[in-house]
Amino acid sequence: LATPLEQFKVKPLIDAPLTLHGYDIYLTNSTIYMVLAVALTLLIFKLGMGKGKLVPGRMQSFVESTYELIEGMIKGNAGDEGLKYFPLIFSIFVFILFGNLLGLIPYAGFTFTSHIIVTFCLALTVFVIVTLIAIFKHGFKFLTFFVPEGAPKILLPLIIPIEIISYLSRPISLSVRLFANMTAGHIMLKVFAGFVLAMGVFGFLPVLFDMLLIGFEVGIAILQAYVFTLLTCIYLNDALHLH
Amino acid sequence: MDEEKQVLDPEELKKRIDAVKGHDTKSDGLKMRIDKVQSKSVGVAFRLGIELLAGMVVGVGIGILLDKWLSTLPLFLIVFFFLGAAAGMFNIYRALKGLGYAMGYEKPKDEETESKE
Repeated sequence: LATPLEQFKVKPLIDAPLTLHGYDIYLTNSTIYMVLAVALTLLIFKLGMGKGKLVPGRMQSFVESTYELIEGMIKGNAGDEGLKYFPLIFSIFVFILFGNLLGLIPYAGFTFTSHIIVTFCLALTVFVIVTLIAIFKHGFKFLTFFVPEGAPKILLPLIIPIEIISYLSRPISLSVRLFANMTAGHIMLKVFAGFVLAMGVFGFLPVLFDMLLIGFEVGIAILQAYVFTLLTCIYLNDALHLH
Repeated sequence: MDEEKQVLDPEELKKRIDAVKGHDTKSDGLKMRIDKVQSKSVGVAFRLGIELLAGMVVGVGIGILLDKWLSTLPLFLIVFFFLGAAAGMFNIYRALKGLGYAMGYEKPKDEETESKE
């Protein structure tokens, strides 16, 4: 019986070693699922937007409601100024959403968002872009971001390092949240599936529980994509308006 | 038939409307907010744990890097451990401050200005 962690193994699809300038550029299951997520997104959105009917069908209403969800999120959390960055936030949302949902396909699914390096790179991208936006928009005034309003002057040498550490910890909490949620859910599914054989006649109980859990997992997959995007919007708001 | 008559009675109707309107007061809104928060408390606890952890990781990381660079091993590790812990608590405080509004850090800006005016 495979261990519950077996499902997270990154494997090359073809055994032939591919190298470029000394780096491995294997096509792994992780990269394949990332490409699949992007391809599926393009396909669904192309199909959904193609006709542009007045009364939307299923595809079109999926596309439109996703668009409106993100638009509302940006407007509500970062203001109208944030709409300039709609493409970035929308891509992040859809990429994570498809990554999370593709991982739930039984047997074949691989969740690339269950790897900390993937989520950390996403979070770092967001962090760097948001910081650059803040610096370009506010220049040196950006540094006042680390000085909380109304703090006594004597405490500033203590508060400023704390604020900087707190700011630097954003990509970590952002990435760990997504990674931990996805990993924990998938491990739980696998562990309960392992009980099926061990419990013999009563093996149907963990199966029932797994059915419940997979429903939860779909919810978590969507919710975590939403949370990641929402926090991106909030960081963007901080960058645009400082405090 | 009697029930229908009761509904149409203006006095009774006024009372009912008042009762419904009374429910929309601020204290009830707060109660609903707390109920909503409590129903998701496991997720919140999980999230706050991660916030604390992230602050600590960055603090200790900076401490160790500084120590490696200046070869003063325990000094900066200890200093930044405490700074990191403080940053983690700060993260938690911020996350809690905006809890009822969204899953984000703070309540939206326009709402804030409205309440000030």
